[in-house]
Amino acid sequence: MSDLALKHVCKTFDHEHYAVKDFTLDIPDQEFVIFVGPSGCGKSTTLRMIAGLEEIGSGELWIGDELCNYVEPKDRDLSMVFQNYALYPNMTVYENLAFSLKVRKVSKEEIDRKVHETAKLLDIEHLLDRRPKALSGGQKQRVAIGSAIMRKPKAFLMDEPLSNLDAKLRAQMRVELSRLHKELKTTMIYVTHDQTEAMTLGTRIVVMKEGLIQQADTPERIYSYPVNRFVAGFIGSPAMNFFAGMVSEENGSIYIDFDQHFHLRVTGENEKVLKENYRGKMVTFGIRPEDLYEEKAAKERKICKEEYKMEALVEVREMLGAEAILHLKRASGSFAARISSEAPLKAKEMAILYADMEKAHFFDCFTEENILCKQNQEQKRNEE
Amino acid sequence: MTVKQKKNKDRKVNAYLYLIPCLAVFGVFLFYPFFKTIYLSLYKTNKLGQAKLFVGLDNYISLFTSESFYNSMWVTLVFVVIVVVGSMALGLLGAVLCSKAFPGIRVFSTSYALPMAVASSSGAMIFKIILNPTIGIVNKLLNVSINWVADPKYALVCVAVLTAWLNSGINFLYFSAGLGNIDETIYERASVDGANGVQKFFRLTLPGLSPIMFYTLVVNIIQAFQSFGQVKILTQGGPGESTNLIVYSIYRDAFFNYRFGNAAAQSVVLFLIVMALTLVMFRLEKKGVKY
Amino acid sequence: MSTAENAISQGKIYSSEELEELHRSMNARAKRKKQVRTVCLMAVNLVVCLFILFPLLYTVSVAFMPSGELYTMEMNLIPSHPTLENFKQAIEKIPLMRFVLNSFLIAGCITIGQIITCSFAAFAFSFLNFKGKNVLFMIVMATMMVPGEATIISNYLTVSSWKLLDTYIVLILPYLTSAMGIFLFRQFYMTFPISLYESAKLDGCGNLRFIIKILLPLTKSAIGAMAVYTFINAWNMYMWPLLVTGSDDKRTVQIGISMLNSVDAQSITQMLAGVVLIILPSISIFIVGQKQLIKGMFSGAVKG
Repeated sequence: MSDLALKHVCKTFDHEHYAVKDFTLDIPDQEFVIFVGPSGCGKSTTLRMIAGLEEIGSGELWIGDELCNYVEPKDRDLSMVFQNYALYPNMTVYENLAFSLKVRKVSKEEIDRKVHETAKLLDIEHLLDRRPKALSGGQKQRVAIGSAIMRKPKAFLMDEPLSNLDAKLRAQMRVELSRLHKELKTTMIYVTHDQTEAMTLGTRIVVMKEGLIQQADTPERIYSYPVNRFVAGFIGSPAMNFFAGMVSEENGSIYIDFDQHFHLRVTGENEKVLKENYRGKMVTFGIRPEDLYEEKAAKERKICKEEYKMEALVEVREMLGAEAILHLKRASGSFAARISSEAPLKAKEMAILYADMEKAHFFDCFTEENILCKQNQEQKRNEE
Repeated sequence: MTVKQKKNKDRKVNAYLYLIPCLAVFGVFLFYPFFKTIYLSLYKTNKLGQAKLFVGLDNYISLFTSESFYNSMWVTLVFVVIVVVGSMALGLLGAVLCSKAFPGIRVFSTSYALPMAVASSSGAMIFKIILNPTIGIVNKLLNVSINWVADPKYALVCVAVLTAWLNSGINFLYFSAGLGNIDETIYERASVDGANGVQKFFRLTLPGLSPIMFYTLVVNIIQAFQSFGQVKILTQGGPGESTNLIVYSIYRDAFFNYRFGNAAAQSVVLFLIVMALTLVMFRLEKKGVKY
Repeated sequence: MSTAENAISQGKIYSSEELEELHRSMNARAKRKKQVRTVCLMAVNLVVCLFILFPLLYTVSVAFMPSGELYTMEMNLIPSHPTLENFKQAIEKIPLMRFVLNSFLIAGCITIGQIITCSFAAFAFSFLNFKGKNVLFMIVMATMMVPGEATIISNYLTVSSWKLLDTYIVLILPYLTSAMGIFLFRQFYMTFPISLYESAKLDGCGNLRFIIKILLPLTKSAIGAMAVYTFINAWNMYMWPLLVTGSDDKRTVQIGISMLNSVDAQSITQMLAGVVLIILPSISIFIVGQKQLIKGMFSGAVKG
């Protein structure tokens, strides 16, 4: 179909505050892009600018090879699902589905065929004669999605479509949206504040904060290589643990010291960068709860060594089933660990855990950027 | 136990106390005259309005055989149709024009609502001058010389237009409130769906107004039926009987011809019409209005 | 901002100058389109607004016109020699100030009276339990169906038999309550939880104190709306005062002003000056209270 591109798109309100700042992103056809971030980060505004509901302050919006900044929403050939579903209250489900075709003067038979096809796909055939008022939240949701997929637009825009559903329905609809995307093979741009939704649905995730893109990448890369502390903390549940520490060298190995009795040896690529640039400096160390292991699991992974050991008091143990989440406390701060629920660690006791330092992240104390990224950037700059 | 019971009883008596002022007024000036009107409509009265001779349904029979009454019903019907259509169209026009923000909207919306603050008698006097055959501005603007209120062809229309104007203010408020209740996002969805302004108006705005439209319709019809001051000042029911609306006819029969029984019978008919309209409308609402 | 490289990915290649030009022209067109739309909307509004206000504006204009100026065959929308003479004459010719005073007194009493009786009744209907509550409420609501004009003859006969004709009381009394007001207040009171009343009771607060200290302050917007609406309607009342008043002492403005209603040229300008004088109070109250009116009347009552 067509690619979508945003170039240096900005949006201000009050002529002072940026809602969206210098947003540049290429969205190739058939991608499932997720805009994710805390509320007020500009993700919805960006989506509404793409839809044409909000004026673009400056920059360019390209749909296909047409500059669309000034095109009316009705001529952009997009379709959108709204957070509150925005069903037409005076029309039946059938009429709601048919609306976008009807205003395009599509023939009655064609509309009828499409409506039944779509209703079947979403399993809402039995609701066609009802009005929105008589539908449950989940049913309204399906009708809203149904109306959006009646046409084959250049892209589907979805503005937090699942946020008004309960947890169970939400999980179910997530699976269905994924399936729909595979069936329809059309670009989807999806806004959410829920990182789980973002991770499970997207082929590409755009993490935003205060109007700025923090990182735009595949879910896997966003998870494994967060470019800065914000992305690292925002993606993943429970959130990544952070500690401030001092980089030191001992017998040729690089260590990070948190307090007198707590230091970890740094391995892998991080070791090289820390050795070069951060010796004797403070950095922020980040490790995900799932990269901490109790003794048995650590032995299996061959990381059960003194230099990776963390000792802490278990404050609370949250049982999730196969896994358990420990909330731990040390002098240097609180953190969480996700371990097998079979591990013999109980609340109010001391626990010994081992960190998988290959998965550790280090962030510059001042810029909050991942030191590896910074290194890369500097390398690039040197090459140029 | 007894203390509690006593307290309970006090409380109940108390409740009626709070209703007494309102029920007393309703009783004396609404329920009592309501039944008295029915009673009077069955009697011949003297000049002071005292029931003197029971005549059964004679007053009604004479009504339904009198040409004047049929004329007055017909005139009222035409009048109500013009007034309701005109005032609702004006109100809707204003409300739609003021549904989107633009500089100066406050001034305009106040102007559209303003006729509701004008009394029927003041309005009638203004129209009397505007429609004056020699110096009236309407004749000057249209470059004609029509004696508007003295011509049976135009008199009713003039009174109706005046009433429509007077009633349009409150309709503007009703419709503005109705438009405000329509969810803004359905317009956004419609524009992404590809609808243009006209399609949005006919498929979203008008149906979205249907609940308030219905309410406004009932209120307008009832209000139009009760118009009096306009007729009294502008045409006195004339020329001939071309503007002899039912309320004016009641007034004339009672206070000029002293036929109180006959006027009472017309009042009962007026009441029945208004009640029937209200009930029919509410029945229709349950079936017809969409959400 | 845009550079040539940025545009390359789009298949069609624009140079940076071309792109800038494209931006500028499209931006200008979009802006013009928006401006045209706003100007059109304002123009249509202006026309409709002038059409609706025309009778009032013309009245004001004539009120300032010397009577000689009116009697021409030419267009005379605006007085060429504005004068206050008409207002002076109107006040001298009939006791207009007396009528205004009467109307203020009557409309004021009706407004205050309605607010009191309606809030009392609405309080009973929403917070108290008593026998026949629902039936009584239905009966009160049913009164909305009875047109005032249908009972006016009997009412006239009643008050004349009480020898009350041509008094203030007879002008005020029949209008001291209204079903619409009770409905409006009840609608507001129903949004308060019954526990509000119960906790006040537990604190030893009597019913009357509860109404005055708690309910009234909480329903300011409904009271405001009710006051504006009732006052304007009472000010504009016509048929009832026409029937029951006879002397200048008790006449209201709407009846009094008809005394200026005769058709020689002299009186036309005076008559409209008088109309301007008596419309001013109701219009000013409307303009001042418009926000209140809309807030109170349309927040709950009409939605359903």
